[in-house]
Amino acid sequence: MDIKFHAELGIILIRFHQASITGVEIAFFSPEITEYLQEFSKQLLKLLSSLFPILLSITIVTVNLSLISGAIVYLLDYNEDNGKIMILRSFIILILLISIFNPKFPNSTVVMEPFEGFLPLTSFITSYLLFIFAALSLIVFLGNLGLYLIASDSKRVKNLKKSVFCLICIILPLGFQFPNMPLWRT
Amino acid sequence: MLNEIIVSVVSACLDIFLSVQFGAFLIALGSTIYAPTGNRIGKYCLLFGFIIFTLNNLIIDI
Repeated sequence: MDIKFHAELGIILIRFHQASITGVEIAFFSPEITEYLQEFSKQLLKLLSSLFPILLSITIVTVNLSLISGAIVYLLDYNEDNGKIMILRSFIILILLISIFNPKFPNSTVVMEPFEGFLPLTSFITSYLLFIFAALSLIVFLGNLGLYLIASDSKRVKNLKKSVFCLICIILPLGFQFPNMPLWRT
Repeated sequence: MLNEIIVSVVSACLDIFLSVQFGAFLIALGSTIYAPTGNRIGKYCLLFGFIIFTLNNLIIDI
């Protein structure tokens, strides 16, 4: 028994030694899998960078729409302030997006090579929408100012503060574009 | 051999999840979710994407 056992153990050890030398017999996976994984990750990154402009244009339009809808609710609600949180959220996100993805902003340290090509359409749509609602909020602000100058109540002071807040939140993303219509400049 | 496979899988996952493109994708997705509705998912998505994006830019600058 002892001799047979030792012989089998020796044979197993010899097979392990051969396999560790050649390294092919034990290996279930070939080293092509690492190359395949690297190619897969590269292609997925290419797909992300090609999908990104469409998604960013959709986000900019939705953020501007949420800002404008929050501003409408906040301006037209006479007694309560319902859309204030919505305006603040979308304003903060819009400033963050402008500061990250706009190459003209002074503090943006972003290489914009894969992100070019989405700017014209979104800037067209969003600048028109924001211009229209900035003009509306300016009209509302002037009306509230006139009402406050005629007869000053507490409700009218509150409405004046509301319209000033709305005007600042809508005009600041437009920046220096505000007095000029977007097409008038070119 | 198993070590190499695990290392390659982990490195591929890190290449995907810590890249600039994925950070920008997360920022866009989080802002679409968070701006109209104010979800918790969108907030954390936005924060994580912003962290990845800024870290990538800082490392490139240094």
